[in-house]
Amino acid sequence: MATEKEVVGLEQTLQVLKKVHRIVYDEMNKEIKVVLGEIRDDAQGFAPSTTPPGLSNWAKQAPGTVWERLIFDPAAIRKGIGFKIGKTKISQQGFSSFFTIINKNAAGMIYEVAGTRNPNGRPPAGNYKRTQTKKFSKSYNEDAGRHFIDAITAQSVAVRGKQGRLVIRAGEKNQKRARAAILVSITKATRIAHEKMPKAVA
Amino acid sequence: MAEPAIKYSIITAYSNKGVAAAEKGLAKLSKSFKKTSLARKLTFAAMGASFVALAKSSAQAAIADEKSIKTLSFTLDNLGRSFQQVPIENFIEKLSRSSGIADQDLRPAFGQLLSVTNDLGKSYEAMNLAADIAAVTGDDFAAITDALSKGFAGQTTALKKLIPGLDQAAIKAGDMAALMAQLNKTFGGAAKNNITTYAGQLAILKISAGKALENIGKGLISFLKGFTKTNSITDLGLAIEQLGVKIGDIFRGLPVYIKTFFASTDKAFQDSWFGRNVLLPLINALGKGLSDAATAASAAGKRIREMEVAGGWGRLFDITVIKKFNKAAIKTNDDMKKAAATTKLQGMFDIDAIQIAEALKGKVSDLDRARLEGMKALKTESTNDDIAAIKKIEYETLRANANLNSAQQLSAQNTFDFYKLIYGYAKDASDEIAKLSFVPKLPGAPSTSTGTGGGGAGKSDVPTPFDLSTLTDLSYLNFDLSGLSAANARMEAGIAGQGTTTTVNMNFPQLGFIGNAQEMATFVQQTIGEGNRNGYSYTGLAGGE
Repeated sequence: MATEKEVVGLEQTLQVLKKVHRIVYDEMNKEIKVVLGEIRDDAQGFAPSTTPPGLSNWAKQAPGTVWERLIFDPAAIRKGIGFKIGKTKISQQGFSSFFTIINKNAAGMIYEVAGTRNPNGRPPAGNYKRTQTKKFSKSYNEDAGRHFIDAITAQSVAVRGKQGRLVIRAGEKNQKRARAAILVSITKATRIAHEKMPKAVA
Repeated sequence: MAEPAIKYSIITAYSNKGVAAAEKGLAKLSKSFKKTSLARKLTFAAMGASFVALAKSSAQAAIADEKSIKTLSFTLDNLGRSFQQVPIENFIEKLSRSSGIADQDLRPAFGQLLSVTNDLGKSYEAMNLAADIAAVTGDDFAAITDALSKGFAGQTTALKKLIPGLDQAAIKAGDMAALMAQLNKTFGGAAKNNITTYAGQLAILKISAGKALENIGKGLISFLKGFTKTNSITDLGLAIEQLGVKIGDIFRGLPVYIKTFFASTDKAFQDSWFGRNVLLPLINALGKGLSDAATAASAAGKRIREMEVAGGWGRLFDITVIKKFNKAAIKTNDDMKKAAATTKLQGMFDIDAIQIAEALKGKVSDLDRARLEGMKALKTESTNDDIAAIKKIEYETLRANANLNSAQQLSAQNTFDFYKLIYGYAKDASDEIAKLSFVPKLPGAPSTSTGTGGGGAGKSDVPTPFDLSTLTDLSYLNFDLSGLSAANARMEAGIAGQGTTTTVNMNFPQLGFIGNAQEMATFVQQTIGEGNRNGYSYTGLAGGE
């Protein structure tokens, strides 16, 4: 017996589309991948090919040290930028993302957001250097943080306040166009799937 | 764990799944919590706790109020003004409501003033004035009335200290009338004005609440009096003690009840090993322990009451009570231990159980082991192990039968006849094969069969390999057997010739003739010496190795 069910919301739409017409769903994802790929390429274009001026030692961390994970490797930074199609975990506020641009390289993440919280670097810990909190800088050079951030900012050119320098920058740049393109793809896929569905016989 | 990454979301959606689930869960939790008896218990417990707190505070308020009334009444009696208690109480009531000062504070102050002045009017005036002063200065009402009463008695120092700026001449002269006039001029009406303020109204509200509390306390005491059918607080205490005795009786009765319950159970259960040896001794021990504890508690309660009435010796008495309680607890513990020991001993001297246990320790067959375990299972109350034991016995029986059949088969195989039979069949088959035309005859094979199934062939002569007469026709190999025979004869002759002794004379061209062994040894020594001189080494060559 044919039953009708109303599909509401993006999550349900994508779930039903995947279940009802996988080919259409896959074709839709291909279109979306092209859009997301453009943003990814844009973000990779923002990634630096050399260390920021004055921070050459960032690329020379000795292997086996705790800093090895954070080593500046332009290729790795570019490789760490990608995209993801699929629902992410629901945040505490109840939001989840379906199409995401990701920056997962450690050095890339640092490059992305350095100085967003403390534009002049973290305040020095002073007499509390043994504290475990990350709110304070434990460097003996009080200007180390500011120097680091200034070098990155100078290289990345964009002074964007609290915004990022790689994926966030690319995302903000292409957001409207990408969102429209993705929604068009989803709408188109939904319409095609609906047309291809067997119609109930009156 | 998800890999850390910075994410930029192109399309985000809101999901109310979590919120809806949380709301649903909370509603469910609330619903189920209401249903549970725990919630009820908690509610009642909270109610009980608050009721107890209210009862305690209200009773205390009522007692304090009564105490202050009694004190004032005593003062009035002493002053011969008992008949004026009602108007005085009315005055205190009004003053309390108008000034926000508790009547429990006003009564002793009034009593103090009246005892000093012995004048009701002056006392009223002083009370009103003290309330006014307290409203302005914020000083303690009792301290002000104390200063005033001292002033009326001729000591104005306290008043001077409390309220600076008073007329020094009046203070020195102890003229209380002048001082009162000055104070009235300064502070008069302050209390009335104070009522209009927020703090004043709060104070009055507090007074009302206190009154309410007193009333509740009075009501509670009268309720308890009615409930316990007593007319005095002393009787009420006795009634509560009787309630304690009843609680003690519960302790006493509980083991009896358990025993009765045990007696009402199935006879088979009572007569069972578990019932006789475990449950009954435990019930007896528990009953005795509870009874002893109840007796000790009751005696202790009685002593407490007596000591409270008599007063003193509290500390020593507490120690005695604690010791008694401890003694009862130790005794109960000992009884429990004894019961447990009895049970253990009975278990130790259960001959059947011992025999079964010992038998199980020994080397017994699986079937016997299963049977023993079945006997052991019979000694327990549970039927589950009986079923398991039956199943195991059946299984082991089948297994034992199968083993027996297998052993019989094996023993038959090991007999001579069995192998004889098998060999006979094999021999017959071999002979049949030998009879076939295309099978070449074996050299030296017996011409006739030694019989079938007769226990093996007869022993034939083994052919000699180098005896030509015994050799089979090997012409197809094209050997020159006559030549081989001649060569063999030559070799035999050579070997025989080595047995004879031959003297050989050696002639060395440079040394001439060596005719004997001495000359040979001399020659060898000369040769070695010459070789050594020429740098040759013969080490390791001597010794004839």
